[in-house]
Amino acid sequence: MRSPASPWWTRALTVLALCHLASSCEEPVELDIDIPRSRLVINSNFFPDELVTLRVSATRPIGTGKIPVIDAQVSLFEGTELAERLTFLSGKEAGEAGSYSTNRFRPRVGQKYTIHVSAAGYDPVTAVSSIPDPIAINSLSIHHLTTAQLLDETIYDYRLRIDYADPQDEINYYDLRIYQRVLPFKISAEGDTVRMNSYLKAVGTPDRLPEGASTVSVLLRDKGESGEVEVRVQSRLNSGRELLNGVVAELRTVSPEYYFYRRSLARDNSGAAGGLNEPIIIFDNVDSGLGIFAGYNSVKQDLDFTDR
Amino acid sequence: MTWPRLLIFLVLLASPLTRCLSQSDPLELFALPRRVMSLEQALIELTQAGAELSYRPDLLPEVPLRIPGGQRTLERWLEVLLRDTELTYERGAAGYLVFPNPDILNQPFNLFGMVTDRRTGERLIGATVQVSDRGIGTQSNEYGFYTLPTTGGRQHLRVTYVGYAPFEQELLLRSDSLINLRLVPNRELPQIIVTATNADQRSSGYLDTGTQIGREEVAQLGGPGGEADPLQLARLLSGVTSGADGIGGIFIRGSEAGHNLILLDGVPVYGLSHAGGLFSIFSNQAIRRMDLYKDAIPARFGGRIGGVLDVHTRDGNLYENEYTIGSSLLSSQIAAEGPIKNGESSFLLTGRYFWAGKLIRNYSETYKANRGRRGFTDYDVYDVNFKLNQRAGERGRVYLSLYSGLDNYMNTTWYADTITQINAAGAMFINAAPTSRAEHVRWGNTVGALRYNHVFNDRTFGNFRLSYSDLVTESSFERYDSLIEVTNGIVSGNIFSGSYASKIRQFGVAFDAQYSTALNSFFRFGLEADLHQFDPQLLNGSEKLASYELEQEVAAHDTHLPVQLTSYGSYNGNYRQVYYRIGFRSSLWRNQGRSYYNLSPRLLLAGPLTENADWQLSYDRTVQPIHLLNSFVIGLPSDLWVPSTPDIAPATAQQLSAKYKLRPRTDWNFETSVYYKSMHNLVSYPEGLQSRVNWIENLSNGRGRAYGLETSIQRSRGKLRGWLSYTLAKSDRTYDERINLGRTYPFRYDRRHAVNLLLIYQLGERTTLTGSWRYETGLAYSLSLETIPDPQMPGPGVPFTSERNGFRMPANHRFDLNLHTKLGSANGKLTHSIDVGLYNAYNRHNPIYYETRPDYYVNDGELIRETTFYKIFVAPLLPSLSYQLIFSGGNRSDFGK
Repeated sequence: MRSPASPWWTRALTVLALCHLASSCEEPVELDIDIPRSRLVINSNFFPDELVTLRVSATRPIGTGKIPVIDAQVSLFEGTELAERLTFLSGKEAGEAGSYSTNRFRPRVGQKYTIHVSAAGYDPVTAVSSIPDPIAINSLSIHHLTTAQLLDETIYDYRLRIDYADPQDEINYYDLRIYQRVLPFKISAEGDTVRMNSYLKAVGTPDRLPEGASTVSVLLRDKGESGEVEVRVQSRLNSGRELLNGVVAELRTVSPEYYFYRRSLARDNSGAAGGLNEPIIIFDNVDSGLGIFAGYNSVKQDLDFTDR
Repeated sequence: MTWPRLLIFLVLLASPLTRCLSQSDPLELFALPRRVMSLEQALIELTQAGAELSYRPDLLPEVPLRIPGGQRTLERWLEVLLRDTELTYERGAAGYLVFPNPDILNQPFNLFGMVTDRRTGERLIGATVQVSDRGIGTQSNEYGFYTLPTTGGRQHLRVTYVGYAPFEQELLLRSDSLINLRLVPNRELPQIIVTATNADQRSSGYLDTGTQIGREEVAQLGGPGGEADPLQLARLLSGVTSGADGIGGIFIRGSEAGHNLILLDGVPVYGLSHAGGLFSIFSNQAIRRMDLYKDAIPARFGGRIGGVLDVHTRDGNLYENEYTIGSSLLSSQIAAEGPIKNGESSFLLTGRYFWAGKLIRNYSETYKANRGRRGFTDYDVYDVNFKLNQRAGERGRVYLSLYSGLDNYMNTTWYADTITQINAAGAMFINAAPTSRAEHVRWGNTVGALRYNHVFNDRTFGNFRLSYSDLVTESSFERYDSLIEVTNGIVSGNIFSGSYASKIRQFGVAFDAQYSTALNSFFRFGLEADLHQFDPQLLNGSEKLASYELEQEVAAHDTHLPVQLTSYGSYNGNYRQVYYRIGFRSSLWRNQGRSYYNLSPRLLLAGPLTENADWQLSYDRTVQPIHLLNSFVIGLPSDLWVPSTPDIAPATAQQLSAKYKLRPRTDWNFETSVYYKSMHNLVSYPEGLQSRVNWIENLSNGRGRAYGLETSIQRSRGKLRGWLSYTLAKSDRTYDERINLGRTYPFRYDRRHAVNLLLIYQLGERTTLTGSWRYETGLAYSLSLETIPDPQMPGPGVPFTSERNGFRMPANHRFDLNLHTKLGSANGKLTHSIDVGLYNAYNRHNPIYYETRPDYYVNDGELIRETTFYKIFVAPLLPSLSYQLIFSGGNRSDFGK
């Protein structure tokens, strides 16, 4: 005897409904919207007394490949005067995008620079930035140093404390980058340790291993209430080939554009493609286009590690 | 003038003469026959027998008196005859004068008591109690209690309530009187309860600002799969919206889902939905009614800055047992209710089990396998409501109510495309593109309340409450889209994974009271103390970035135990034709050594403009010391409730609202409202930082605003009933520069235009056909349509979004149809309730969000990656079917309960 609550036709309809429900909750769609017009994307961080280089590309509808822009007219202005027209330099390796560069002109602190880029098929774009004054590092010290051996790696875990002369009456932006100075060595046939020229190597944190040349970069606004900035860092060296020679702190004094751009890039945007996460809105300071044109300054200070 | 009256008139004229001639003997006996007669007849007979009596016939009540018969002195007869009247007598020089007793007529008394359903004993909220011959009235409060100040004497009491036969009674009031009123359900066509005030209730309803939703309308509307849901009806009201098919929760006037105060028998509820919002946790079998407040929020409500959804559960039948079993296309339901001790205590038990989840698992495995995928979908849902009530003395009642529900969802999918690529030289490369999705979400609520109602006296009613509420969620997900070059062993792709867990508990004790001072004037006041426990645990995901902001180290498991103390008071009154309610709510929130004190004033002014038009102005300030952090763009159980801390201040909001109501014809109501709302101290995850364990330091702070115009026209009686509403609204948000670079952006549920149509057609006494159509501007969504080259990496670039919520989804609209009928004889013991309908009748695929997925193919020997947009939606066209079999003691009413 069938239950009065679920006769056969209820079940049949249920299965029908569930089939429909389970098979139809997603579908590929052609979005019925205008494809956004491609915009120029520029990317340049410039430094005092160095040539100004600039990469130029363009946005593309999602899913299509990157197309470098190699026929752009790129002009750099210092104040209202044309400083130089940049020339295109091809990439050194196959597949590497080329860039535009000044041949002679090198920017200075305190001047306002405007970049103007135009290319066929795109709206011309402009961006303005300047190079802030450098800020001196007052002190640099290491605390809570521990070492550990993991297979053939020696891991140095420590806190780097840095104090710098942040002007109190204005807002300043910084990008603190930390490197390790590594002294490579080898054991000669006679058993002697032969030390070679040192070089800078990226450091990581307990949570993140360094990826290639990308080292720890801490974005700061002013100095905070504590007066010092402390960053926990991990150096990982090959025990059989490398010695830790020192730690280098590079304090970049950056323009607000640099700070906000780098900060928006620093966040995890990986989930946005799934559609469920809010994407990160990338900062840009380019009128009619995208990207960043930002000056910065920097000072470096070494902390010798040899006697630790 | 009839002859007896003429006679009396003549007697009165003659009385000065007779007074001069003689004084009657007070010990003289007069005889009256033993029978039923009117007071006037009795007095005439006494007069005819020689008694010297003076009185005004028009003041004599026309009630039959049972005369005991025999002989008595005149004074003794007058005592007997005038005993149940407001009249008294006095002996003077001209004999005995019968006149209204000024001590009774001028003395203020109170009528008070409870209004209940005669058949079930359920207390009726918002019933209108009137002394019709004096033009005064009041309404029962949410506990069914009423108090009506009047003066002594004979009066005509009339009680009305939607779905019930009017109750009328002549009564003589000589003192404060407890009168419990028991209404009988009627069999008339039901009125739509939503927006209650009618002409009868006009003066007492000016300050009743909630919109009421009754369970019968909910049953008539139906729902997906046949699952009747009160929130489906709430979403048809102007100013109320949600995501597609209810996903995301409920949004009232531009506020967020976490801004709404959801109360179940007075206890805050932290999780509102089953199935992510497709159904609410409120079983229509368990609820009695739901009140929705969008503005003019009474001071007794607080702790949230959005709207209020006050859900009352049924008490259970006090007089007879009733059992219901039934099933929709998605769930089976049972309900049992009945007296424990007849008329004194009762119970109610309801339960739902979504058995469709079991079928989904089997079906999904087969479905996925047929499409080359591995995996399954499994979903378990149940909820249980239990309620006990017991009379406690003459004036008290104890209630114990419990709710518990659980959702347990799991979905896994794995599939891999193999793409073979042959280059110009004939070399063959094999690529595999495995894609995996795995989600597991489990969440559950428990809500409990122990309440004691007491009628202290004719003016004072009180409610004591102990409460408990919790929400426990656990969820995890993992997804990857990879490309494996099988030939040379290169693997590329990302794995995204995470797990959330959150626990919130609230223990509370509260006292709420009402003290009446005069007609439609009363104080409402109360105290509440709540202890919360928050255990938020956040996403643990992989990160790959080399750059990061300054890290802070905090414990991942960070328990908070905030305490909240609240007091409130409000006064309802009127000055001539201006009715007002002025209220204050003060709250103290203390967490981790930091205290926040807030005072929230509330003001409501209302009154008549013309004979059939009313106006209303209101101001509300509200405070919310807990925050709901949305992990994803749609509301999911992984959203995290977090408390205000020393670094996170409570959110506040202020709302100004004005309303104009017009009744152009009987049972037609036109209503239009405008509002402006500002919100402050809102918190949200900054972009890209949903995964941070140190949530306290990393939240963005912002503000929001919402404003709009709401218009509706409603017909509440007749064969064709329903309403049509239109809403024009705007809502936006502005956070610090970590969200949308500090620029103002539209709120996700910023619906510029919304049209809601509800039509209920009465096909027969027990059969209705209900159609509902809703149209809303599409969601504001952050959709990436273009890529920006990554300067560090060659390749297709990274998706780029220039504006948060800068893309408008297609408009959201849907038409539902439901035929609701009941079969069974009027006094029979079995009733069959059947619903047949179509959900989403024209198969509109309303998007919830869009997802991009890579598709690979080979073109000219080259492996091409193409991105395809997928629209994710919930419900296509679905048949809906529901059947319930109700066993009862007979004599049940089909409507208006």
